[in-house]
Amino acid sequence: MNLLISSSQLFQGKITPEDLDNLGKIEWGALWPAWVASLGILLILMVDLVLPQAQRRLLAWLSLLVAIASGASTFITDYSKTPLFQGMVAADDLSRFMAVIIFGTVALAIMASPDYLARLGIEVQGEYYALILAAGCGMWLLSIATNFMILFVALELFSLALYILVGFLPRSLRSHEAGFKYFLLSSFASAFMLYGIALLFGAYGTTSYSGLRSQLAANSIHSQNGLLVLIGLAMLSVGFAFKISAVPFHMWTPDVYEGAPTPITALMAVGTKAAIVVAFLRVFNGALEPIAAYWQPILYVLAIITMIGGNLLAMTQTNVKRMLAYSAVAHAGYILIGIAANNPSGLQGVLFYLLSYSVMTTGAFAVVIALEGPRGEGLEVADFTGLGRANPWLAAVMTLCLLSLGGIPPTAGFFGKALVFSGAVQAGGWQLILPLVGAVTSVIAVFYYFRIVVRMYLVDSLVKLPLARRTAFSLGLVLLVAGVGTIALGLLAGFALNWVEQAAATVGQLVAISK
Amino acid sequence: MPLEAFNLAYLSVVIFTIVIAVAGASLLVLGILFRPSKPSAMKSIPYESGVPPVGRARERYSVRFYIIAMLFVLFDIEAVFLYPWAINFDGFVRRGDGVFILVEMLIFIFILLLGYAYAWKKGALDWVS
Amino acid sequence: MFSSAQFDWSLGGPLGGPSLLETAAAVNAKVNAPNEPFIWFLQTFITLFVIMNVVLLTMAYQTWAERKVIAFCQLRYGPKRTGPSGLLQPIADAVKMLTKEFIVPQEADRFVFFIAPLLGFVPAVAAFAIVPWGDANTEGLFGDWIRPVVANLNIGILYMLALSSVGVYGIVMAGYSSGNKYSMLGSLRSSAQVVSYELTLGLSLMGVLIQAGSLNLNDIVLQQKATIWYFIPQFVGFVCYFVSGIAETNRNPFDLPEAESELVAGFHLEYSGMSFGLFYLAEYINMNAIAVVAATLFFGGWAAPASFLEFIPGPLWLFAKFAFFLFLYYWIRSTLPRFRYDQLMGLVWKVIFPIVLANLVITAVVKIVGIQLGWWA
Repeated sequence: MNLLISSSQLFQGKITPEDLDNLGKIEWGALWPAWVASLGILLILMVDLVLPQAQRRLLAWLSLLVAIASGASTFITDYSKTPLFQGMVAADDLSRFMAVIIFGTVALAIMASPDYLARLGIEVQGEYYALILAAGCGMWLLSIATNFMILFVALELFSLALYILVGFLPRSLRSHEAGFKYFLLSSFASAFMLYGIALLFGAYGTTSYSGLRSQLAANSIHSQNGLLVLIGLAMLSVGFAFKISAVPFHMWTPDVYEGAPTPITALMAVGTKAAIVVAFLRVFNGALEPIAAYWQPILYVLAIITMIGGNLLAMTQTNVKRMLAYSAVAHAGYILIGIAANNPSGLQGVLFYLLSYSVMTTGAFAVVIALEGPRGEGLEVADFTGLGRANPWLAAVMTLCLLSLGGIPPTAGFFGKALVFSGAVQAGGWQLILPLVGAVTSVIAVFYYFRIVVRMYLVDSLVKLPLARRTAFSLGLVLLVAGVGTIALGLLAGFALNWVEQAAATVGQLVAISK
Repeated sequence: MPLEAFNLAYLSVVIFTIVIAVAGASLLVLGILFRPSKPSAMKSIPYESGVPPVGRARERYSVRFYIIAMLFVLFDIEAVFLYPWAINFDGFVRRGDGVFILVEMLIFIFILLLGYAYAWKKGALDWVS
Repeated sequence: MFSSAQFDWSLGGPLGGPSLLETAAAVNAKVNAPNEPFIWFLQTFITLFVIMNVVLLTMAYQTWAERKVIAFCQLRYGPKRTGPSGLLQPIADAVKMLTKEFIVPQEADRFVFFIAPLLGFVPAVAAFAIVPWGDANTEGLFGDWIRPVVANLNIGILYMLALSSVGVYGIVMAGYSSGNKYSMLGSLRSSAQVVSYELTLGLSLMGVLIQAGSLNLNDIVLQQKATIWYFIPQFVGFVCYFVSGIAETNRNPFDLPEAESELVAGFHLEYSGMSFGLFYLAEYINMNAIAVVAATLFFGGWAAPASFLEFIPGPLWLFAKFAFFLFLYYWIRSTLPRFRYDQLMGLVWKVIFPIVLANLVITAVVKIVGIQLGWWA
């Protein structure tokens, strides 16, 4: 089926009914989450125009509704027909899995926002929620793309929304700096990625993952186009490494995470990372699988220096937001282990890791949101002193999330790490170094996570009590979801694992095509 | 490029453009034969109605120009999408698909109008606020 | 080397594929000359030489006509000393411009400063390549040595709009490179105004496109000849087009960019001699282009208003309609005062834009209803 309508048809009025029949065959239903989110964005922008200032907080609930509806709509869709839109997007269990993670994170970020925005005195709200939904829509599209064109468009969609959101705080110079920094560096990385895509396209004349894969499987890398493929691969790796903030492409992460409004930081740390990782899986473990021998060494090195660098740098931080940013860098390293393993158990590990990472990181950031003051104060580690006595519930959720981030059993984080490591062990050989480095750096990580826990409970709290601010209802819900999720994923990991297995199998299917 | 693939109408446009460019450039250059050339420092000062210039020329200017530029890009792209639609409209109506193609475009224009309403309400179209 | 089978003689068929103008192919076969590319090139050069000279001469005498008409409106004489009734005035102007000194201001970006007038001038004249002054499907004058149109493009209107966009570059570059505050402000104002009105200029033609179903100017003229001049069904579109056209060419009452009381002379303030002359030419030629396209799209172009008037040749009809629009320009100029800038931008974004969109939708609906009910074929 050829969808291309030539320009001569367009400009001479010669489009035929057959062309439209082809358009009718497209499975519009597969993209329900994107449709719902897009309509929701328009709705919110319009409601924002007519609502009086006093009632703008309704927008938060409206956008929450849209986010939940987007995530839920993925369950009414029949995902057996894959691939769709002439192979542009994949509709498989992984897509559904990602819809839940991403729109779930978006919903949590939205719930964490109204109280936070009110505290910082921000009145403009319609755009804020609309942009969060746009970012979520772009992230989901990125994670289901099976064509480099869609990949890039989706990447731009959520990046553009995030540039604005990061610089959203009107009176914070740091926020503006973060927004601009993110804009410049991220566009630079996008350019790298685009060059990589262009070179791969130059080599084999296709931008679809499956087309590229069959070409790579059919042609030796030592043939005449091999050089193009390898340079393209290197550029793609740089782009992806930047986007998931692997060392040495992580420089933007702490500054941007620190400057951005904290709910947006949570969204970036979780949603963006999840979307990029899944795009990473689909490109590297899917399309580029035939040349795995060439990209695996890159990922080994990236994983090792990311784990070491991220954790060591996190240790020296005194600002909790920066610390969590470096911890996000370190976790990218653990995720890279699973991607580099390139086997089913590694893939399952990555997906489970994403699931657990999203709840625990959201929880940690939610506590930070609860404590952050109107001018961005209250973010130092010292400010957590005595939180255990001042607000035991907050302290409990924080402890839980930090334990999970550190990978202490029986929390979700432990199983995530264990699965990823087991993938590497199964791969064997060289890769045995990776879990080793991972285990050692995990111990380092526990050190700086525990520094906060110790502050909260053990250090004499007479020095200074944190602000005993009431936690807003919506933020409380976020904390509840994150806390319960962190424990539940740990204790009931089996249920989640079934689902993860199904989702990972679809990447595996892509792997199985050419074998 | 094989000549049969090349379109003669475009070739004539290219020739026409080149000839105009050459004619324009020669008008500019031709004057050298007739015109005086006595440059002086006073002559080359930027002209501000006779008084010495104040400040530099390349200063910052109103942000509204940027907004107009962005709105233009947005709506002009939309207009570009409308041209093929308008051209194909006739054929569709005669095949009995008129309502279908009209509704398709109404959806498009409706989304556009939402953006327009947004820009208007937020004051992007007001030059004086 | 070139057989006529290989060579696409159709003078049309753009964007791939042999198409249209089978008649033209037949004419080409009939017209003695061209089985040789050489002949074709010769014809093209002669045609465009003639067209270019007509454009420049029209422009020159248009300035004379403008002065005369405005003088008449203001109870003055206008130019009357150079030649009979001042008829040699345009020539005197040209000589003056050629012999004036070319001054480059000290802060100028020299290369851009030099190239900007060309970028204003070339697209203005190039727009005339697509205007048919006779039926493009027949042979032209003197055995097709002067063709009825330089290039019978099937995307004619897009080409015209594209050129009007390119014209903005000349303005921006001139304002920026002069290194003068007033030039800069003038060029900013001008480019904002031109891009805004370009939008409505394009959209106001949409009704015509829906009715004609073609972007080719000659097809549109033939359609009008067969049915009705489009200014009757598309009157709203025509008014919007003409208002946008006046603003697009920076003419009164929209000549804000060169508001002499505020900005001295706008973006071409620092230009002198022939480089100023090119901007001057470009402005008037743009005006002519708007007028001639209005005549072609809304008033039947070269077609006669009634069949018993067809003994008068097409070019004369086109010129008569064109002259009418020029007169309209002068009339408006001598009647209306200048707009304020906020009124100018408000007019395009808040009034004309919604109107042209509504016009587009209404035209489409009426067309569907009309065809369904069999009002017209």
